[in-house]
Amino acid sequence: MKIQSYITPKHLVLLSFTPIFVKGFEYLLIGNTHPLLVATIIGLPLAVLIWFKQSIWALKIWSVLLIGYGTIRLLLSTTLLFVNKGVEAAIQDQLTPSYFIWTISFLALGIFLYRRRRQLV
Amino acid sequence: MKNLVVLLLFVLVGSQVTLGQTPGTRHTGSMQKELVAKLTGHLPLESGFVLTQRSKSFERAIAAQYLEESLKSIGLQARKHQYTVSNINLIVDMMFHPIEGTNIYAIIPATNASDEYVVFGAHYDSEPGSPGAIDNASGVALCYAVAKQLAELQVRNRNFVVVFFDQEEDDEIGSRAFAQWAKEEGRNVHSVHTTDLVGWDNNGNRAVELQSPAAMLESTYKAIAERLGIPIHITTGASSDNKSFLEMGFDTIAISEEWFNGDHTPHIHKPTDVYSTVNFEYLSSTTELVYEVMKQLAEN
Ligand SMILES: [Zn+2]
Repeated sequence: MKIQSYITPKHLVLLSFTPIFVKGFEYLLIGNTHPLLVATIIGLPLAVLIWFKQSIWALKIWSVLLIGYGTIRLLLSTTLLFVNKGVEAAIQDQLTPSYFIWTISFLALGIFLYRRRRQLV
Repeated sequence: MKNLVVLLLFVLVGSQVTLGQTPGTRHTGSMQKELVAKLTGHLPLESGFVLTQRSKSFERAIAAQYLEESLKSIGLQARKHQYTVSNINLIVDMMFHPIEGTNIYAIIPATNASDEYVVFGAHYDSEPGSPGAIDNASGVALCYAVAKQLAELQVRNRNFVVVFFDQEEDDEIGSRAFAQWAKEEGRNVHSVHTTDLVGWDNNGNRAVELQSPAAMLESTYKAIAERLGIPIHITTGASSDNKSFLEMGFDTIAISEEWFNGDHTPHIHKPTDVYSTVNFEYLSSTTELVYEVMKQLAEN
């Protein structure tokens, strides 16, 4: 048995939903339900459509959302790096190399899913 | 004979130095200088690290550690109040992790059983790029000296809590978390006294501003200030950690130099807010005022 028969491209697509839910649970732990609510409202229907209905259309929306998310993070964090004044230190603190690596990853993942959406589902 | 004259001179000079100072003031004065020096990078910490600001999380952690050790060195059991809170809104939450911080506090217990707590504190973080000597190593030094003297009292009819707040410069996150926690714990908080900016007195009048004081605190401070010859100005609003406690309905008072009256540090939030700009005589005078108030609250 080859491992490929267990892990299909669809599994990998599903995996792309985990960060948004991880964030949801990160905030749920401190009593804030809103991020998990956002993750559920946006992520769950799309994930279900992709998994059960092989919806290319749903994957297209998801990939565009990921590209949008990555772009906003990139623009925001680059701006914050240059505009020091008035930005909370707690936010400045998080603008680490790993923040940028994650941001680029979201962007790259979004672009990859968008371009390969037909092959993936 | 010559020796006798020298001895006499020594005694005279010595008495001049100590005249007009309450017992212990000179000691707490040097203690305050050391604390401000180490918090602002004027002197290195024990580890050799030089704190040039207390803004990034690792700098605040180092400052917190130093404050914890400082409280322990005066015989208090220092504790950490660690908190994790959401950002200002959902959009920022979706982009960033929650905010983490640490308040450092110690309880100076009542000697006669009491469930009442008098809280006094100051923020220890600084604005990015600023050593934060007057804003707010001065407030921290004030509270530290008050805590030391309170702990030495034979009788305390109330519990006292000295607390050093994290992240005041980020919308009072630390004090808000502390106020929330005190509320959740259902503590019987008698009053909350916050100090911020207590190191500038260009006109030499020793005046203090009390912001949005609860009525009973206002009268206590005024009476003691009058006895000490300290002019008092009452102001409104909430400019510092007092905001967090006012919002949650605690009886609160904020102590500062003459911010609204115009006699305040021009170096606030700047790289020039350094050790050498701190007026330690003024800090000592304001420390005495707060201590005398606390002493009265301990005795009554
Ligand atoms: Zn301040």
